[in-house]
Amino acid sequence: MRLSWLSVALALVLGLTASPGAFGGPKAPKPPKAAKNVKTPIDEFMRMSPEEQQKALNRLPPEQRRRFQERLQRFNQLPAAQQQTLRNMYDRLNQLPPERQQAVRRSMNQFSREPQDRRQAMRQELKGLAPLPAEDRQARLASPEFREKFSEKEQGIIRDMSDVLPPR
Amino acid sequence: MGCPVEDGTGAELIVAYGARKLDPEQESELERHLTLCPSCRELAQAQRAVWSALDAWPSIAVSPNFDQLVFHRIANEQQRTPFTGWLRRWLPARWSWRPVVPVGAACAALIAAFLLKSPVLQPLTSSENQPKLQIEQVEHALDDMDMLKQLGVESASEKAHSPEKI
Amino acid sequence: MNPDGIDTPTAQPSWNTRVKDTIRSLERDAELMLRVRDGDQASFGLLLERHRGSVIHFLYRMVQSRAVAEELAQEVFLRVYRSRSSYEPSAKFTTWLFRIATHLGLNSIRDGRKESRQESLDQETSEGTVRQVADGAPNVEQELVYEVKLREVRQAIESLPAKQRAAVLMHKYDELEYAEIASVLSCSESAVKSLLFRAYEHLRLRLAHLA
Repeated sequence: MRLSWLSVALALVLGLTASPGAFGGPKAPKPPKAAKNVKTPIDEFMRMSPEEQQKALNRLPPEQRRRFQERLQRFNQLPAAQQQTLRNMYDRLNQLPPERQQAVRRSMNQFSREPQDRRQAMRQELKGLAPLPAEDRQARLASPEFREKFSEKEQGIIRDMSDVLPPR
Repeated sequence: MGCPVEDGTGAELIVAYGARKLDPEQESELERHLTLCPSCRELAQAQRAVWSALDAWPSIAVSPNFDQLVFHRIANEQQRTPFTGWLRRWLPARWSWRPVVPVGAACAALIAAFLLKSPVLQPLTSSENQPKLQIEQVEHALDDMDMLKQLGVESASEKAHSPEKI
Repeated sequence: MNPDGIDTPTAQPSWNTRVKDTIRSLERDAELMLRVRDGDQASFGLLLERHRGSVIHFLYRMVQSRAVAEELAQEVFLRVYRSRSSYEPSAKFTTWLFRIATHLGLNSIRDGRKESRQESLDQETSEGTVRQVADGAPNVEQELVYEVKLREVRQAIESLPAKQRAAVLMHKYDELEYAEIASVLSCSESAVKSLLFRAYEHLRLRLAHLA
């Protein structure tokens, strides 16, 4: 049974990799290269027509629709540069393997539960890491000063967060 | 009452307590124990917190046309049945479909793969046939953006990428 | 023994009423399904009405996608309908229903049919229920706190292995007993307890701070 399904997979791979040109027919035009801009579901939603947006929103109960619209407005009102940086971080988050994504999201939740002064300290640290190249970031995260400054839990949060920092 | 955590009955009792499923007598007895046993007390409080947190997760409204869709699928299946019934009458009684399905799927996969590569069928891969965006995807993206925003990194990145003033 | 012939402990009257309601409900499901077996589609419609909510909600929390949950739920009822000619009321109808739903839900999780992590939950409240807020409309701060809490609960459930997830959802939201869950998952009662207690231990670590 497994062999039969293996044959299906093999047939699919052979079919997909074979080019129609090999049999004398015209080559299919290549699709254009994808733009480098990151597109999130938020952007896709904003590109929908007003009617399509309303149709999607109508699936939500009134209170939830209101909350959704408020959150969307808050995001769209951010300065363009800030939005783009968030998009890049979002993209990096979603490129991670699922287990890493889970760990990062868990760390972000933990971050939001920390006292205000510790959140500020961790934010400062992340701001300091952001402009550094990857090797320098790693060096900083391994340094004794970093370890002394933050508790183990905070170190874990910062390490996880550094995975979504925009690449230098 | 002995200590449930120590005597190994803790898990079931604590879970039932968290779910408020103990009868009044059992609950009173356990609560008397909790006043004396810090570890059980902590466990019980944590379990109640979990139960209460899970309560916060609301259920969704069912689509108004759900029943219709089920009946539609039933009707579709019933329409297809006469052919397969006919087919079964002509095939040997002990005919097994098992080897036929993957072989048939392999042929279909080959044909489909070549058709997909054919320029005639290129429009089928256009964005009009991309899966529809679900509102939940957008909500989840907003969740992620809210979390990322709290890190406050974007203002540092803006400064890093802004042109230097001369 | 009380006048109804049911032996109950000296508990509140509501417990007795619950037992009687449960028995009536089980009998009703079996009665309806037998009518479906005899060709009565209207009875199938009534079964749909009685159980679609619980099936969809269960699958929704399993796969964390409304669209996939409804698609799977349709498949559940389709399979019930297909099996109508061989239905025997030996087992509880809901156990059978949840067995199919769990099987499809576990397959869906295994096959990764919930698309990407991005296609996530609908945060709807069910029709007729409104999230109660102390003073008028919730302010932004309260809403953010609520959103964070909800997100943590969803992620905590999603982080559970599939079988533990199914067991917790049936235990918590559908209030199935250990024996029923064991029947749904085709395992022993002690195996179910083991699944559940490990799951709750994990959830306590993730969610206890939300008290």
